[in-house]
Amino acid sequence: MLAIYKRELKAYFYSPVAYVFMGVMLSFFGLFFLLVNIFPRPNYYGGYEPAIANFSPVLDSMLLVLLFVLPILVMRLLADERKQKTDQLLHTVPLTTIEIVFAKYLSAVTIFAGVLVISLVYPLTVYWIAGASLKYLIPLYTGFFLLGSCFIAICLFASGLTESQVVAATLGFFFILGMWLIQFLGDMISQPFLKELFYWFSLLKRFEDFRAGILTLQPIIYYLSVIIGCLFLSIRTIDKRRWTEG
Amino acid sequence: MDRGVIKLKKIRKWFAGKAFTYYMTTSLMAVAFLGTLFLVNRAADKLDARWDFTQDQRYTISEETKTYIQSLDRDVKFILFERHLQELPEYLRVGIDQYVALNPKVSIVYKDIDLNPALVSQYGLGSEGQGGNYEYLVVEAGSKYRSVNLTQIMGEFSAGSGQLESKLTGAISYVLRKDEQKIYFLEGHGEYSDEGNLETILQRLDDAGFFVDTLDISTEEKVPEDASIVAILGPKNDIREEEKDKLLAYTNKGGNFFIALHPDFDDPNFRVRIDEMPNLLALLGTYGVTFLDGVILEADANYLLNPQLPFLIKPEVMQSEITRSIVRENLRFTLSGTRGLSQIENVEDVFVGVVAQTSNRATLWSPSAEATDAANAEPVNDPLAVALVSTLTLKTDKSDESSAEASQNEKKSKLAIWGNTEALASEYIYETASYGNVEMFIKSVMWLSETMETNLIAPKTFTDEFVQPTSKQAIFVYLLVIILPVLVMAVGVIVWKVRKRL
Repeated sequence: MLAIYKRELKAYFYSPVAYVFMGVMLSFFGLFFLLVNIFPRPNYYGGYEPAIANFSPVLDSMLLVLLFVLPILVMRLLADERKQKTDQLLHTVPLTTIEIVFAKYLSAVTIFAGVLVISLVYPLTVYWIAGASLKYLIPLYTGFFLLGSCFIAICLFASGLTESQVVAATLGFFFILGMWLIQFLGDMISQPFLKELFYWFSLLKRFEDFRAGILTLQPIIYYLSVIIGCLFLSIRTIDKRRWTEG
Repeated sequence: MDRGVIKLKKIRKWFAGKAFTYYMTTSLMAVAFLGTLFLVNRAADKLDARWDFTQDQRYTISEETKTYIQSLDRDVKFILFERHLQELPEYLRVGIDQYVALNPKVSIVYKDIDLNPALVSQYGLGSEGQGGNYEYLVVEAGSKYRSVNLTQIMGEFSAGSGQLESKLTGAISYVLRKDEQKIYFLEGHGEYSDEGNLETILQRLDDAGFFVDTLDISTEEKVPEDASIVAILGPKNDIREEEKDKLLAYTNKGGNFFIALHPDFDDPNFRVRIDEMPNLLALLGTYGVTFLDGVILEADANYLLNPQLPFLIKPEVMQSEITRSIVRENLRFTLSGTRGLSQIENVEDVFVGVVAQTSNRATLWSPSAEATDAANAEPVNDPLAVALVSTLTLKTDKSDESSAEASQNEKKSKLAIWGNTEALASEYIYETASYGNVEMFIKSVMWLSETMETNLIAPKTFTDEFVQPTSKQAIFVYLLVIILPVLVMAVGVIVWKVRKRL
């Protein structure tokens, strides 16, 4: 499994994909960081007042960026194997489908985690300038990492459904967009039971506690369940193809 | 017929074949697996595992509340009115449960709001006229009760606003308190009367168990007997002679005043009308207090909310009974366009205390002068008070009492005065994040009415620190934001070119 993981990481870092992904993510991190934490904002009297030291709105804005960049990061993981017919080779190695899928998933999550680690330089800069507490970053980054990992798992499943990377990216985009739709429907519906149902399934709704600075166990378990569920579906998709195409 | 038989045989063969077995097994496994995940999550929903990483533990009940609830020796009942199938958000339920768990004297019963119309009517719930879509918690002790509208305090985030503890603890204090407190807002002199914009302080008064009413003293014989406090907010016109006499009569009975002034910015000539308010000045003079001509301009940046706005001041809050929680929690208390206040010397039986003051570099700017810039400002060289309190000891007529008895029977009349009224406006408070203004107001009111023992928890506020980089820090930030992504992409380009060559 380690070999597949290393191979995928090399594939990312020997191509422009990882660098473009990280560059784009860090650009947007920087942009939102400036807008939220550095540039003065209009005040009550028509003048300007200093920016705030809270980094939560930055990650909130970054969720929308994830919608576009994560499908592109993950699109090649399974789709490309199928297109290049290298998935047949993979099936000959002494590894289970679970290990193969998990190794690929882990490689994408590693890139994502790497960006998050580098992005910590921004809230640390806020701490250096304003001396604000950093404790709230623990639940904030934990929630953001888990949510991003869910999106990666969803995109991985989308990648397993097709051999075209473009289609995989598009499917991943729309699957993640579906999460926004679930949240939107939950907000719009007034019927209590349906509202509660949509909110229960909504990945974004469960991010709210992390955003507020609270580490709660239920959303963590839910995110892990979504990841496991999507990986399971990816494995089943590959196995089904393996079985039918023989 | 034969074709139909052949098709049927094919179907039967398929169902008996490996493909069907595989698909069935896989589907069942998928359903079982995903179903298990679903059940695990439903079970996890019952867990109460949360860790509050916010700086001021804003989603956790304070130690103050815990101590207070644990000390209760009277029965307090919570009646939670919920709508059928609509559960309260978990954070609210957890918050309420924390109270019940702290003391066996605190109990809770659950009622469906739709199935108990008689009870709803009895407690006057849903009287806001909002279509009755709210959920309530009624706090009851003996014959006294107070309802908390839970739906209104549900905050933007699922973790909620910080108001639950404030309202719930305030409600418990109210139902356990023996006497009623009423505050009358004077009107008829151009007072600040935008009720919508005073919503924040009115809500805090409600939380603290105060009843609120207006008072047009010109139409009354005297100040009502049940008045704990008379509040005068930003009068533009002076009170009349006979009104002053009625208010002084109230003073002599041990009445209390909360007064907030402000320079008259509405005046097109921008005059400050101190010399046109002799009756109000006379009332204040009874308490040994007067106000100064002009608007305060602060020159010390540490006393300013925004260095560009010298009239938007962040005065020093002095340590006192009123300001204890403000100082302890470093709440922001600010005033905008403020008069200076001053003590009148040699007024008998009066004790004046400074609650908040400027730096000694503050100046008074009078817009009545021809020059309109800060050069006109009079240097004062002493800190200027912007909030004062005064206690007037009233003389008793019982000359046959011993001094000890006389001391015990001493009546006092109190005054709390601010140099600015806008500081109480909700819009101002939220735009400048001056939550200390609300706390200062309510604690002043509690001090005036001698209800400081009331356990009133300030709603936890979400004030973020400001980021004000120096020029060097700003350069570093701009370089960081540009260089970091560019560096990453440059490495990518280099690696790609090297790989391409290979």
